[in-house]
Amino acid sequence: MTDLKELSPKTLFTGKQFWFYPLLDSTSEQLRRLLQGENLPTYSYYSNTVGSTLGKDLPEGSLVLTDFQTRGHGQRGSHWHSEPGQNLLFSLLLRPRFLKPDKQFYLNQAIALAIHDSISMLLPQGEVFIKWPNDLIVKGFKLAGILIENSLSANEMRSSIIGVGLNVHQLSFPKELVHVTSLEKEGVKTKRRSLLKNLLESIERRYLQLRQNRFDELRKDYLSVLFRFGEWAPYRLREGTLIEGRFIDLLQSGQLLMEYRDGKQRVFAFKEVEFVY
Amino acid sequence: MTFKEIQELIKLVNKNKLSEFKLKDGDFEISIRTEKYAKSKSVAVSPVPQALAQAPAPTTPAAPAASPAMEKPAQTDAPKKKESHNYLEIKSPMVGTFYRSAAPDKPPYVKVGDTVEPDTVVCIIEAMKLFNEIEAEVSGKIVKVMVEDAQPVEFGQVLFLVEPA
Repeated sequence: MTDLKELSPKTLFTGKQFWFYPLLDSTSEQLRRLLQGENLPTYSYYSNTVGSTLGKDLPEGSLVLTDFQTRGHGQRGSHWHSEPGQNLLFSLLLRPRFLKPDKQFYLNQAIALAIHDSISMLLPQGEVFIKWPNDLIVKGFKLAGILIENSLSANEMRSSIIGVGLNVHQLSFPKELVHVTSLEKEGVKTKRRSLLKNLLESIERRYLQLRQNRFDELRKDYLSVLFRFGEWAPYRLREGTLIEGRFIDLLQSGQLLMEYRDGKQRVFAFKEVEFVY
Repeated sequence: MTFKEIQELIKLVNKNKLSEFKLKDGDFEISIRTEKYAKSKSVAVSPVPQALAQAPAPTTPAAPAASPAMEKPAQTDAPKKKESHNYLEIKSPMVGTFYRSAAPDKPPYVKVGDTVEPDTVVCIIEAMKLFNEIEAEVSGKIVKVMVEDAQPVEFGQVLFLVEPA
């Protein structure tokens, strides 16, 4: 029925323990439930682990996979559309306790870069970009999305649920999703299983880079594949005004510094500015 | 309260340089204002309830240096700011956007009157598309939500007031 049950990534911990569900509400919700010690009987599953500890001690690298999710979502209620069995939908548990909450944007950079690392090998050079802060795009079309949900306790990053949706085989999308694509739509023939294995290995590599505090490398790599960084382009401000500017710096918070044509500069947070194609 | 006890009380109010002192316990009410620290001096005593008269005036300061005990009955008249000092504060650990629920279609994590434990999730702070569940870190009852849903918050900004358990 599915090709995702056999999974043996060459990693230390990432994806070593996984739960595959033919159907779920959402992989991140399910991972959260496993973290709370529940595995709902509503959803049947296959796991490579028997009698493993659910709950607060769920090991780092635990992975939840599904073929279809009914309530897949992006940020704050935005729906994530995906046809059954066509794409990769997973959530991964990380425990970045070593990372100060004010440096958490580096976690975002590491994950976005990891996905970029895997996908860019399959496509012509210079076609895949990270669209700030963490969408993966090909020729302006969205290929993958990331949703990171952290749990903070006493100012410590206790756990992070990394939700990823990556379009693999799906060829048609609902009309309202205009700027969306898949690997197959871009002419890439690949198997979900080998791609997932590769993704997990990339994520671990970038995550270990983060754990070694190699922030400058992550930042440099992130900026080198950041869509339109340093280029003059049109943008729409939240209040609707169209402007021309270029991003010239990335702050530790993840905010971008934009330069206007008249030389003035302004710092933007996510959602304060929109890319215009 | 006996006449002697009232005399004692007046002495205490003077000694502690208070300009005004009010005590209310059921029907019994006393307020003292001193000339030195206020414009007029007045002593008003309403009828003493039987129970209070017999009991050794529980709220009357027993020792001369009893300023903490003096503060307590005065609280009703104290400015609101002072009152909040007794509450615990849950502060934002980062700059971001404050959300009271996990998603727009979900109920808030906590409401006024809810009891929280240190590991109770009270809200989400979103920072550059990273969503952070924030734990209470204190035990008690939520008495006030200080920030509106979906509003920006600063580092260290007070999000909730909690009455200690």
